[in-house]
Amino acid sequence: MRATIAGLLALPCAAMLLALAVPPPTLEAEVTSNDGTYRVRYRVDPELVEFGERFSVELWPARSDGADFASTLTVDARMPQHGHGMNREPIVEDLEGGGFRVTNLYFHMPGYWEVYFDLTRGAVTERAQFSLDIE
Amino acid sequence: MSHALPALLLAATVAAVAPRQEDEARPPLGQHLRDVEGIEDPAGLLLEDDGTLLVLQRQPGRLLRVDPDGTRAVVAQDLQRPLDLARGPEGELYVSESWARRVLRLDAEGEVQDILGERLLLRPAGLAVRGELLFVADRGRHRVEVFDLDGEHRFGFGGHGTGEGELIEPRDVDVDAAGRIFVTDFGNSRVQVFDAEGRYLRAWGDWGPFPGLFTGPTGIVVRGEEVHVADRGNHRVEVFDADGELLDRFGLHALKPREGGGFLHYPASLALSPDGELAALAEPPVDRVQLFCRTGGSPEDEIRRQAQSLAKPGAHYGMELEISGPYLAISEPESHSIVFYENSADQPRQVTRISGLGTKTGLLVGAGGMDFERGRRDLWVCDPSLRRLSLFRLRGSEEDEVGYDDLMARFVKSLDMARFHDLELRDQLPAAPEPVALDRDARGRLYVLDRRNACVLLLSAELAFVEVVGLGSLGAPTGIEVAADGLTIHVVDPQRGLWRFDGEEREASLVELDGERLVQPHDLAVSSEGERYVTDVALHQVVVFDAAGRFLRSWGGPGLRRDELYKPRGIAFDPRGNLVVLDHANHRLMTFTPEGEYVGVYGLRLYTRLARYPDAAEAPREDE
Amino acid sequence: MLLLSGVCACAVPAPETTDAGEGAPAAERPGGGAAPVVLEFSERELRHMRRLTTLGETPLDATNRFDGDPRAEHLGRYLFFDAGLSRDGDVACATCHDPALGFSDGKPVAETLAKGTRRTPPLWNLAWGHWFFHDGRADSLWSQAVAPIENEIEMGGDRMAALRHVAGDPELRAAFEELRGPLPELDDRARFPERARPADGDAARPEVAAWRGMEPEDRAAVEGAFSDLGKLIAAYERRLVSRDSRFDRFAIALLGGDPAGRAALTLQEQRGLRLFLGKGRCLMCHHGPNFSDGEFHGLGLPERLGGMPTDPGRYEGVPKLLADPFNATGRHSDEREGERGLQLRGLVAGPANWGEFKTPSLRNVGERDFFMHAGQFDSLRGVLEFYSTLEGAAPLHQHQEQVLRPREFSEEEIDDLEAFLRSLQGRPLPAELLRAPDSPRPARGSKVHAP
Repeated sequence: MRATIAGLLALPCAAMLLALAVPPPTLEAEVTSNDGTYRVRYRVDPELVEFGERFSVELWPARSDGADFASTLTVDARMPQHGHGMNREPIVEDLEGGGFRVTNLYFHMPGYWEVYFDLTRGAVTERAQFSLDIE
Repeated sequence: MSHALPALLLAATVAAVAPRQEDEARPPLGQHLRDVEGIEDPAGLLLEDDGTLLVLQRQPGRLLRVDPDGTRAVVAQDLQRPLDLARGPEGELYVSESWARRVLRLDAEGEVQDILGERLLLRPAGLAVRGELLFVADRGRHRVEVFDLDGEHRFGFGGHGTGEGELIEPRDVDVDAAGRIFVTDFGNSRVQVFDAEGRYLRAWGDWGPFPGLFTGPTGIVVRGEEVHVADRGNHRVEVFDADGELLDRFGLHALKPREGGGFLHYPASLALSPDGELAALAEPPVDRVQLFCRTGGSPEDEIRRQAQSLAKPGAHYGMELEISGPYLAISEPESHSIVFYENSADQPRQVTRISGLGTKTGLLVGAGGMDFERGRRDLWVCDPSLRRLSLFRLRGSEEDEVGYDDLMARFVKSLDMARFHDLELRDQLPAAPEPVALDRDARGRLYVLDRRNACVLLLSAELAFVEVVGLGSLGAPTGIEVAADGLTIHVVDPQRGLWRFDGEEREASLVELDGERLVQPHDLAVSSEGERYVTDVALHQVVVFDAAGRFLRSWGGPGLRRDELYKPRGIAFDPRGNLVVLDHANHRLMTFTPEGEYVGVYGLRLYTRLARYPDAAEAPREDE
Repeated sequence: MLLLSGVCACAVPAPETTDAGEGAPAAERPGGGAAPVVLEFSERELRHMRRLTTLGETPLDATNRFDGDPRAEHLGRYLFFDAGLSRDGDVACATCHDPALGFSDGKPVAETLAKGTRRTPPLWNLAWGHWFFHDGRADSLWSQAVAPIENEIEMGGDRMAALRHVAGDPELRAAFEELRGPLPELDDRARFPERARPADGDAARPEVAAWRGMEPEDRAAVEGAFSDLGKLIAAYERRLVSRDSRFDRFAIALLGGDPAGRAALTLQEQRGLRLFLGKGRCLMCHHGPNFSDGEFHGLGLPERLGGMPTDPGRYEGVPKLLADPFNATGRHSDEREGERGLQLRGLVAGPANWGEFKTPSLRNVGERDFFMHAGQFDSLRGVLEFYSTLEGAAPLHQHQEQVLRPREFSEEEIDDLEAFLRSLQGRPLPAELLRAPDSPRPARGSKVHAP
């Protein structure tokens, strides 16, 4: 890292910023919903999320038992220790192949955030989630 | 919290209020006049210019007149949980009987003249009369219904929801000279305004403690261009103009037990005298009505009051308690969350707080009854306002070192009762269930107490519909407990008594209310011998009945000492076999042996002193 | 120290030049060729310092087509100092945003035609901003700039009168039209009243009736010209940048840049920097190259005279922004689908936003007279003492854990922090940028400063 500092500083440009987010899971991660009903593959873009910068998530949820997905998705994010969420509502679009793309995700503060995928079928909503510790 | 700013606070208080119009000569309401103590469970009231008070009492089911010199007379009795009172054009009185699902018209002597609204109303609450029309806030159906004074239904509006024109538990209603209808939308913490035909005009307010916000608005009175709203959870009255601009506010949060003198505790109903010079506020948890007049008191009094009130208030335990193993959970209405304690040591230690205010998945509007299952560390929470059951799961294990972990619980899943009703319950129940309490059997089946349909809804562990119990029998149930095998279901029903449903046939038996030993039960804990330990809100007691329904013993009585309670609510056995009682209006938890011997107390310092130090000489000084 | 300056380990740091030592007490400045004393900063601290120092190029606002145009900047500067835009001809932007007072006014709350409720914020580095005003009710510098012109207690004017003022001065008119095309036909009094503006507050005013009486196309034309006034002013304000403070020079030196910067901060200031990055937890909100996240937070600050907060802040700012015809998605925005427009999507405010105000930038904080949204504190030290004890703070929400906890600084720590904050004073701007130009258009052959 030392060796690159001088080189980086030579460019008076924001691009020299090193990302400060703790590296999240690998490019594509998988999480099981909190009661085991769903398995969700997801990808965060950019891979290293910084506060104050919008990011998006792509996800491909499926039922763990292999049955038809047939559920709806709502996405949200919160800082549970502060008791608040984001200042804006995420936007969910369908992708081909049963995936979803979520944009307008924006963390305005550093700290511990949780991102929620709430999957609803019938009257039951179950949550799959992952966390990001943003420095 | 430093009180070093008193001199500045007056200026702030005065400055915080919008400047009044030049042509309004009247000083604002807010000067405390007197306390009228000993009015048990006060509800709707009417106030005369001379200070004569007509006040309903919910639990004794009476209408009381209190003269300015203090003389009291019972005007009407045997009213079935009356909530509000309105005067008609000829001096007649209208009373909403929430447990009888109707409105009574009484003459000035209290004789019943007519019955209105039967078959249409579910839980009639707030009333208003304007012209030839009677307006009824129905907190059961989340609507406002309008009748003519003979009882002919004219129109209605509302319906459960959070959107424009929708209501959650409307508590009160009033109408201005232009016919606009103002409704306190309690569950949404806002005031909504409708035109004379019931069409939505506007809304204002949101949940919160700040000026212009509410924490559960209750009573509302419109007088001229001013809209007065009793803001229950913020312990104050806010005054707005018809567009929702905040004009004034008065009332401060009471910190000391039974404190009056302008300090309020959960004000509910509100009334103004016809000339607008006096206001009366009912405070049900402390059995009192306070009267206010227009200001004229010394600025120094105001400074002192404001300074005291800025201190951060402590915990306000809700009404529901759940104990399982070393854990103790209490719902906290102000924060719409569940406070979770570990209770294996001398005192409960808070380990986490679960959920918070919101309508999104995983959040709460009404934090109701709970059930905790130790094995999976699963906590189910009822939200009757959003008509949802939510499941949270706690990480870690009972062997972990006890410490605060703000990430201890995560939301797992929820059941939307309205959707569930749409999909599976239409044939079983008339309306979407409002879950108010629940328990589970050893197989993980859920027994959900539904206050809307007054029944028990049985669901499998996979949340499939199994059965409905008690439909048509239950009145206004508040508590439930189920045996591990699921073959005994206990339901506490303050309108009827103590139910038990036995066996697969669900054979019903009832320990009836008798006005003496069982008056207003709220919750129960059942011992292994089937004895029922019941909290009675009106008697301020724990009352014990055996399995056959025979009275065994009771203890308590109104007060702060260690053998006393005040409007106790939740009750549960702890792992040591003691009873923990949520002594609600005393802001504390009391622990007793099953024989009623005092074991311990936990809660707000000012409320626990007398129990901790029965010999007053031992007690630490007041200001410590 | 060797660790951090590995690249230039051999160089002997030169004594600081006159720039670098500004404000630092002489006693702590190294003399002659002695190496300046530098604390050993950790990797983590350096990482944060890099972020704090990296301003980069001044951004351009895509919703403002004049941004970056030197002629627009010049005319914008002229308008910034032009009191003719106000009702009585005596209040200009510069009246409250006085360059001599750090582009503020030295008062706790703004006061021109009448006393306001909030402090006049300085104008430094707003080119990086997303939200404007303490409550974020504007989302671009130009949409903010037009609002005071019509604010009854600020400049008291109206858009018609402002445009007539421009039209009435031949040179001003020429400069304006050269940049944005012809003004509407204001001489046609039948279509264009003498004064007109939409309602805000007192809806009974004659200007409001006049506005309502206009044809929609004419209103749009007036709005467009009016928004262009704002865009020109914003193009000038974009140049008001504070950078190259002593902190920046110090940080760059430690990150491998010009080693002379190592002498830029005294030991005390370095201690303050360390506190800023650590115990003070200031970075929670005062992070990024402008020492502000640009977002909104509530501290439960008492009102200026004490007592419960009464200003709803962001809670009312968001609905106003969403309803503002001059916001980034409005017809007058020059890029409705860009970044600024996108950030409006799904923007919500709830009761948790009550009493939240924008985190101010700390660059040039040392030159200010009053602090916080209503000027509640009259000294930097007072602010630090507040963070230290939270005395007088109102509980934000009942029984909710507060994110902000008292920092419990010692007296020395407060001294150190204050010293550090004063080192954030940027390099002074060229004098020309701080005063009105002689005319609305640059003189032939005059030098126009590059951005």
